[in-house]
Amino acid sequence: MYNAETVDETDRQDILASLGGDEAAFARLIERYESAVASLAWRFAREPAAREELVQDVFVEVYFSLDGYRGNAPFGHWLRRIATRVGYRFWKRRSRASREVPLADLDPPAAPGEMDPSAAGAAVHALLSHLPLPERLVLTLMYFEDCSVSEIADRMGWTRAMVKMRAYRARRRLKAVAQREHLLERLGWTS
Amino acid sequence: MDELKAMENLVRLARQERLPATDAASGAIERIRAGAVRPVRVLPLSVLAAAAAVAAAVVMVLAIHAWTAPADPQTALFPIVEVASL
Repeated sequence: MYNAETVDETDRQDILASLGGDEAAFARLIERYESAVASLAWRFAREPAAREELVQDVFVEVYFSLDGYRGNAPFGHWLRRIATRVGYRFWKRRSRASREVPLADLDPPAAPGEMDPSAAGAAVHALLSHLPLPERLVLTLMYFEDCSVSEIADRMGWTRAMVKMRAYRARRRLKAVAQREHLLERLGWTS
Repeated sequence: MDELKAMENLVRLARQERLPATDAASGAIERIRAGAVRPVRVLPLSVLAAAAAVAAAVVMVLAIHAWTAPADPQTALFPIVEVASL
């Protein structure tokens, strides 16, 4: 049923068992992939409760779509595609209530180069939140998932040309936002 | 430093961030149980629709045949009666 070269044997067994209604097998799949999904979900929701719910959303959707998995690509790839789409839907729901994160809330680093990774994560999140959602998604996947143009196109069902255009516009817009918000001065990286 | 370069540096730092742990398994399984049955897939539905269409076509052919055929076996006698009355 699944391509043995692409699908890990342990995954294959647990997928088949899950399809047969074995909850323990599905729990094992969750356990193996939870950290990857949670890491991606953090890029969509930085509030722990929202992120936890997002991770659950992903696995619930994975469970109910499991019989659509053909095994042509590793299970992790297929799962990340679902996670990306679930995260994107989360943004769309939130964007109705305008979820731009103000940069003014950022804590400036004590000294240049001494920025805390968590503060850097918050800064990136805040800056990207000023972009339109498709552009924000493209840069998020490029920055944090090391996705190529083709991979993003594949995950979202967009054309490569569309992804390239969105990446170009996103960078241009991001630069304008960073200038407007005096990012370099705030970070003390002006030299 | 260029703003985009600064952004890349920020991203590099942000990737070192220690993320809070999650425990999605129990919650997800609970929601799956509550969600009950898997949604019906489109493929079986389309097979069912095709079978229903074939059945409908057969019924229609039979119905047309029945409509055009004499309803009563005695109807076939009427032309003979007419000729006889002449």
